[in-house]
Amino acid sequence: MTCLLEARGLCVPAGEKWACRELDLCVRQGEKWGILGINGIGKTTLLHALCGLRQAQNGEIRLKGRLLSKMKRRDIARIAGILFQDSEDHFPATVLETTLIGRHPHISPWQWESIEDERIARESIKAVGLSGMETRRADTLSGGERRRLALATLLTQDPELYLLDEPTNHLDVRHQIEMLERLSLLAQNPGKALIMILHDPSLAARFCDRILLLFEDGHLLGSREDILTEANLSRLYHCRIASVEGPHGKIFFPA
Amino acid sequence: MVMKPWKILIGLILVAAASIILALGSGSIRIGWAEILSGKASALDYELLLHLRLPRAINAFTTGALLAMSGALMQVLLRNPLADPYVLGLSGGASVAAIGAMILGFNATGTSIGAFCGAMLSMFLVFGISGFDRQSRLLLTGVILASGWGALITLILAISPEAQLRGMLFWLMGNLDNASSSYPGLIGLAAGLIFTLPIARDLNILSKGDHLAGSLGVHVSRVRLQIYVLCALLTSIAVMTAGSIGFVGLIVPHSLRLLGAGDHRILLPGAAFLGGAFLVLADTLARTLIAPQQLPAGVIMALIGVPMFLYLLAKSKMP
Repeated sequence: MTCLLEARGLCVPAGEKWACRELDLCVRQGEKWGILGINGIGKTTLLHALCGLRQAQNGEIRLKGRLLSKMKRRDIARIAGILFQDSEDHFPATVLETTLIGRHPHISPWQWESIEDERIARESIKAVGLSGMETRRADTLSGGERRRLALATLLTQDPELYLLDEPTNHLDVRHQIEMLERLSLLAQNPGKALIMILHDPSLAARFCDRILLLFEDGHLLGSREDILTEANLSRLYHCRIASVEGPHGKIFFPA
Repeated sequence: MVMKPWKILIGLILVAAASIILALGSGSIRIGWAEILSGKASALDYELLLHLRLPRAINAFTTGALLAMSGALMQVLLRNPLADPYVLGLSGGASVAAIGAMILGFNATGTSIGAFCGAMLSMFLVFGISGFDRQSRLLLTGVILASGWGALITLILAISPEAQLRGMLFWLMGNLDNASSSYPGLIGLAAGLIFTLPIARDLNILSKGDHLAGSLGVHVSRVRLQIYVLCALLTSIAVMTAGSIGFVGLIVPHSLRLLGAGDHRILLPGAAFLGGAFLVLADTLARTLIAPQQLPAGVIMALIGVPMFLYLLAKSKMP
């Protein structure tokens, strides 16, 4: 199977250091990737580089076989969508309006959102459990609700590749599991794949099938079983990590 | 307090039309509309209407429209609801150049051209020093430059001969008395609408952050550059036509947002109509309230605008 997203010899600078060097990555349809690493290692920087929001120093990225650097932003936005760590609200907008902007790459500059676009947006709002809040102002929502609103916007964008920067941020335990289960289901749809940055190796063990670990001096990638080991994670986080077998896979904890 | 966006736009067009009709009919000499429409009016009436009141109303309308539009644009560019067309020191640059030209003995046209050049110079200074895509630096650079211009204005006023002081003060307060040409304003207004409406949806997203906008397919640096150049041009034309008239660029876009027209596809043309109508009304009052003496339109506008805006704000659901 060909790669939905492919990186070859990718070097991405993050401040004075490197987020990654000589990274070769192939994300295929149906795959769920987890990226783990300590704070400030460059996970977000790498994620942004993978959809062209940031320039890579070296190497190339291909989206569905096309060179990312040669693609228009609009064309990229139809294939790859990203959930950012934080959202900004400087000017008032309702939940529905905020969700509708996800349709932007799909409609031409002079066109207005159609009834169909609004239907998609309302469905996304329902999917993240914000039904009934369509006319609420986005800046009156709680942190967790805003997180789900951002996801609703991404669902409305309906990309093939979902890039998720700490999707469980601000969410309580129930919503964390619900969010990740919803995303896992998404990845089962034909043509979809997702890459998410996570801080909890247990969630990564439960919801991801491929793992990328970012170390200070390199990276490690492969299948969940090969990569998510006590030894690798202890080296990654600079503290001893132990594990037990749980109902949904391994559960990791600081020992 | 939230209205349907389309209704707002249609309402604003009617308000704008009404303001211009009112401006044409107001003044110390009464104009008989029946005679005008039936073609029996005197030559003086036509002269008054077509060569004095109409150009002045058009100038007031385009100036208000341009300032309100650039205010809306500037607020997105700096992602700061407090931004207005003058926040980057533009009116300061224009003012220094204009009153400098007055001291050097230039006529009204020379002063206008000086103001235009001063505004553009100020914009490019800010642009050159900070780079247009770094908004916090942009804002800080602009505000600092504005203080510098302010000091220069005070200095020039302090050393100017008394005979010229009144003219300078009137220019600084903004007025539409010197009947400059209407074409720059009309061209600016047309250009503003033509160049911003296709990117209006991009602006909706840009106001939520550069990264989000980029990820949704907006060519962020290109759109930002486009807004920046447009703002500089529109504001410079407005300053050239009417001197420095503050305030309209800040409250008009916000009033529309409070009325529920936050979508830039409605907000931008809406700001043009409301800003234009607002300044036409303010100027009509300014020249009729204690006629034959004229008051500065900017002052009248603030006197009406401040309580109106505070009322809207108090009525709104803004947390």
